[in-house]
Amino acid sequence: MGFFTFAHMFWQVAAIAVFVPFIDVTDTLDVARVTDTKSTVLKSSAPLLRMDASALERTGAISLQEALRTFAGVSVRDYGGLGGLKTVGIRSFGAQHTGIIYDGQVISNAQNGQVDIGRFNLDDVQSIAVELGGSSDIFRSARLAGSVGVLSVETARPAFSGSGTSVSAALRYGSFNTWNPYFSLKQRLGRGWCASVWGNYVNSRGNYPFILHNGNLSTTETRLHSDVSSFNGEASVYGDMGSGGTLALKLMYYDSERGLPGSVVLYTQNPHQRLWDRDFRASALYEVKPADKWRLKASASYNSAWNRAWNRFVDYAPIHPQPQDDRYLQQEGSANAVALFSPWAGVEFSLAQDVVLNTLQANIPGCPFPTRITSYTALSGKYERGPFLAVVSLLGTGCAEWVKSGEPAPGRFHLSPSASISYRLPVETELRLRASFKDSFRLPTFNDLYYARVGNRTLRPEKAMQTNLGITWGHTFGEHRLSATADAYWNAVRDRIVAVPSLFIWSMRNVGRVLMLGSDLNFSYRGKLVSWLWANASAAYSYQYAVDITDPSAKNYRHQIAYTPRHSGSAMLAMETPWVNLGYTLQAVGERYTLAQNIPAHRIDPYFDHILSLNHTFFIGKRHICKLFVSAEALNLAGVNYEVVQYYPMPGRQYRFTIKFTY
Amino acid sequence: MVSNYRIPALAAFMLLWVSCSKPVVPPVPDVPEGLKGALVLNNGNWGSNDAGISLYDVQKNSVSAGMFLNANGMQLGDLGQDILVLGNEMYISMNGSRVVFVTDLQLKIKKTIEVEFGDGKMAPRYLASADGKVYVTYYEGFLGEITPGSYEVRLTPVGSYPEGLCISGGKAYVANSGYGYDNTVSVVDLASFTEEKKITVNQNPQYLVASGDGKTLYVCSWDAYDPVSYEVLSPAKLQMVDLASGNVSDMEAYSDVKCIVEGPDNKMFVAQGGYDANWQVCGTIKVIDMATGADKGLFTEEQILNYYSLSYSNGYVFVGASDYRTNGDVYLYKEDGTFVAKFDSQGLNPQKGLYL
Repeated sequence: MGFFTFAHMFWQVAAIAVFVPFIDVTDTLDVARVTDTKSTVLKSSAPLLRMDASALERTGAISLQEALRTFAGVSVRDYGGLGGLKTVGIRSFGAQHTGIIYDGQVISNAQNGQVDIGRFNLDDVQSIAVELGGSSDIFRSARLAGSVGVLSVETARPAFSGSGTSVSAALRYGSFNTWNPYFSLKQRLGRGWCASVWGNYVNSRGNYPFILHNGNLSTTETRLHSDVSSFNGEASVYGDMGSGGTLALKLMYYDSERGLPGSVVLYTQNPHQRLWDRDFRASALYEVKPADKWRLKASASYNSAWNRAWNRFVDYAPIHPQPQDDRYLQQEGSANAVALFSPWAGVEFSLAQDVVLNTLQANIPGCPFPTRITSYTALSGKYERGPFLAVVSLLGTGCAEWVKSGEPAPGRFHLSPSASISYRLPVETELRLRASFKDSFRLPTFNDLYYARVGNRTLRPEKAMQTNLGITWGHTFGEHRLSATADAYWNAVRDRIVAVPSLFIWSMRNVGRVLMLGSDLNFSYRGKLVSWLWANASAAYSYQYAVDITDPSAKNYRHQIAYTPRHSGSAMLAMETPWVNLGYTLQAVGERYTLAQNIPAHRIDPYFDHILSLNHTFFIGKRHICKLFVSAEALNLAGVNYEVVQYYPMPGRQYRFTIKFTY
Repeated sequence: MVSNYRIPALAAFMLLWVSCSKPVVPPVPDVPEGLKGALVLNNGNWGSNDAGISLYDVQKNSVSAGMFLNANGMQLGDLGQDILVLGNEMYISMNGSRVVFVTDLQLKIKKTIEVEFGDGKMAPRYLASADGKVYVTYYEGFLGEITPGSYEVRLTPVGSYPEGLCISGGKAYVANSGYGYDNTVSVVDLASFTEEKKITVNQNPQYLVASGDGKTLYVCSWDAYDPVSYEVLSPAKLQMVDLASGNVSDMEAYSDVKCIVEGPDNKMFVAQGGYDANWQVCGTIKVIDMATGADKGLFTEEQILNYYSLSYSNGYVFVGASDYRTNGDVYLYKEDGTFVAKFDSQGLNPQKGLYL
């Protein structure tokens, strides 16, 4: 895949764009709608970032990790390649503090607390949003109130124009032998009812070249055993029963097999670890307005996450089973209900109750087969009138555990309050001040508590405290829209759950305190420059001073915590014309340290990732009944094999082509 | 005359400038002069290629890091496990990188020893030398014999996951740890280079030391755990093996033994672990008479916080300390227990010290 192919493709796209008569070139997004979505972001009493489908299309992002690059205060830890684990962290907190919600359903992992966001594809996504702290939404699952931040993904509800059937098919090809077909079918089932089915398959060899630096030597190597093959599918039924409420039923299935290349070890490369995942989820969500001042929402879900980890040891005289072939099955059942009562205009109270049941089974000897029941109860109030928006919430979390062997971890209870306020200044332009406070925590995972020898059943939850002060500004003039937000925060973590060496083995302990002071700045512009050109520009910058304050006598006292850049930022520029849409995204991340001590030996270089995207949508047939979307992207244009995680080099320059047909 | 005065001054300046820009390189001697000082091999963090060699200058009280990188322009690699000097060569065993580097006494690489195994390479562990040969344990279950000069490796199977080894009376003794599940010491006859027998010891043997008279073998084994309940199945122990009779006896006075190393004058140093008031790992070093097994008391009164490793070299005892997160510390003592210095090892997990 060379530059020639890319140029050739570009030429073809340009040629088609010029010569094929197009019917409609007007962008469906007008300033009013932009203002609408942006104002939620600006009005939010705690920092909120959002990107909708059209913005995603402009940047050329096809996965969550690509989209989240431009979000200030959000970091994705990426082990490289399509199959590499990708987890998302809020500000300087670990990924285990991030709540993830997909179409109203919480996605979690009780075993290790980390959700691999690499599995989500954006083909069917309507919007993604990240809350960095509290939320102005009090009509939702209580469970989310315990997280430091929430990443939410909303898929598009079927909307029909004309016939009752909508079909979409896409094929994507990318560098390093990556194929990605996608198909979706949406069908109207009758008055108020519709169904949708989609499937997405990805296959990649992932055998990308990278340059390995070793002292004065630089050698070109190939990433080995980085292949991935995965299928992701969903089937949903949506019903609108008028005053009887709305219902959404969903089945999700994810199946993958991948090689785990491990870190690049100097002088030897022979990875052979493999991982299989099978994840099934069924959920039902019902929402109704039973009375004038009341809204009710209830949901239930079941999730079974099976995975298999295979590894072999080259041992001449094996004593334990060979090869290692661990199977884990996590099951989660959850039920949740939330009632919203609005006694007066602008005043809302909600009571949300979640009950979650988690189990873990494994074939590894000594697995205690833990079961956990967690109850989350959140009582919230919201006041929204005139220039004020204020939200208060109190979450009570209690959990109890059972095990088949040994002692279970004792029951735990935690209260987490939060409060936030936003005030619009009495000036012409939209200028708001906001302040928020939030207490969050994460429960110890099953691995933290029970993992062979290392687990510690007496662990307490890891606590997080967040305070945020911010200012937001928005301004519309003619067909131009400008907005900016600036936030400063003071966060802290105590009772950090970390592995600590003991005499012969390691064990999990509640040690460690982290102080985080930082700031996130966002700026964005959208406007019509000339009749045929819409421009979008955005820039974001984050400053993070996140230091370990556990032990004043330690060598890392007040050193920046591992893998947290002091400076990071992004810039995005997109031009929309009738002929082609052009997008450019830059992500810049400063130096980081791989270990607790900030010394040159543990430093990893800053990096810049440039993405260039070109796309165009052709409308075919009467009333644009068919749509053909073609796009080409060049990722990591500079071609540097930078590292997000040390010795997990990222692929260099890659190209990707998409052709998507929608009827 | 001003000009007469100026020209030699200018010439002298030119000469100075020339000599500054191109320093005269002293001729390289046939046998390179070795490094001098307390050399420390840092094990590093698993998978991070951050092993390294530091040199502590006792007179200047300063540490230079990256000695191997400086000598070779390339990194040492992943998990530096052991280092020894034989004649004018050094052998460095890299467990994660699966190589044994042979260098001169200035750490310049002479040979990289790799042993193919299956579709990969063997992972070397600990080193020992005797009669001009170097012996190395390989995690794949082998003992290797390296002949300096040709650097050929002869292999013989031992037990599972062999760790420490020692050589005495024409025999190599290898601790077969089984990664916590084996409980044997292989006795390998060096003349035929085959395993003669296995001695059953406490589970999870790690380090071996043989007495100078070749009559007694000391075995340090670590805690071993039940594979199902993860309860401690057999605690760490120091054992004495009478090599003539094969009798194994526990030295019950020593609990939580972390390491044993051979010292001077038929003495052995023992590191015992424990915890301080804050539940941080500590180490206590004791001395044992190898001929009789008699306790010769504490080596030093000091309790070493975050005890990590113990080594003895040329009259000096190195005690490494590590919290596994930040650079380690090395406590350097003379063999009689006199404290010499405490210094930052400039790397993670100081594994082994050599006094050169």
